[in-house]
Amino acid sequence: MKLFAGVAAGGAIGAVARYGIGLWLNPGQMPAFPLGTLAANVLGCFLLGALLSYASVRGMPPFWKETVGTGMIGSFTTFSAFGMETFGLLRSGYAALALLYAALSVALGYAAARAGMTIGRSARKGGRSR
Amino acid sequence: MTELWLPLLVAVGGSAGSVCRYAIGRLFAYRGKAAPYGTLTVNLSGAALLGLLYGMAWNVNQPAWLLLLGTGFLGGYTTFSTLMAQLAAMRETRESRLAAVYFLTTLGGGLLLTACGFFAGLWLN
Repeated sequence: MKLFAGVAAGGAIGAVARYGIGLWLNPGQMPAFPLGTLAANVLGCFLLGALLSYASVRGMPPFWKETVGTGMIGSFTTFSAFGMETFGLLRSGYAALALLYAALSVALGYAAARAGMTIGRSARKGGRSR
Repeated sequence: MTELWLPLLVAVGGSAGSVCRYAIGRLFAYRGKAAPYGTLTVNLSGAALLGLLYGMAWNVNQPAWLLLLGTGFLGGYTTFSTLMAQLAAMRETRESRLAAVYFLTTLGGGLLLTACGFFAGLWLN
């Protein structure tokens, strides 16, 4: 029950942060490059990679892992908006932009997750030993 | 569109969506299924539902319910970071076949279901 409450609280924070970045960077009209969603998704991939690998190396209470990882970061990033924006670009005839958006989201998101994992894992070195 | 209650709608929706995603993940874990099934389920169903909402909201000027259900609930319900972290983890465990199938199913299925949802929403509109 405590874990569900943590996910609920984290999910609220993550969604509002994504909304804020979207207001800031996403264009108002649909057929244009959704920079805000891209930024939230790539940043979230980095943060989740770092959190999960740090947790696996150093250990982390399940409450915090779920609240921050599943709730906050999970909600901060989104697949449904990514799909809708890609589809919106395709449907408006911007096939090249749709392809660029999808490719950038996947490539940068994957690279960010891997970079985050490397950094999270390096917490073992230099940090306090367990 | 800068009233204070708009972020509140996103917060409430995102909170509920995240809890649903977590519950579905727990359900799959409880039934002994491997990690990506829960994430695949929420991402595919969330993609279809967001398409449906956008179809239904077509030509309606930024309705508040789209913020609550779309940006909030379905944004929190689906996740991109978990997908990428799972793919990165599969690479480390050398499950490249699983990673390829998982990735293509999520991306291809997600786009297809978004389109299906959208046209269904337009029809309902």
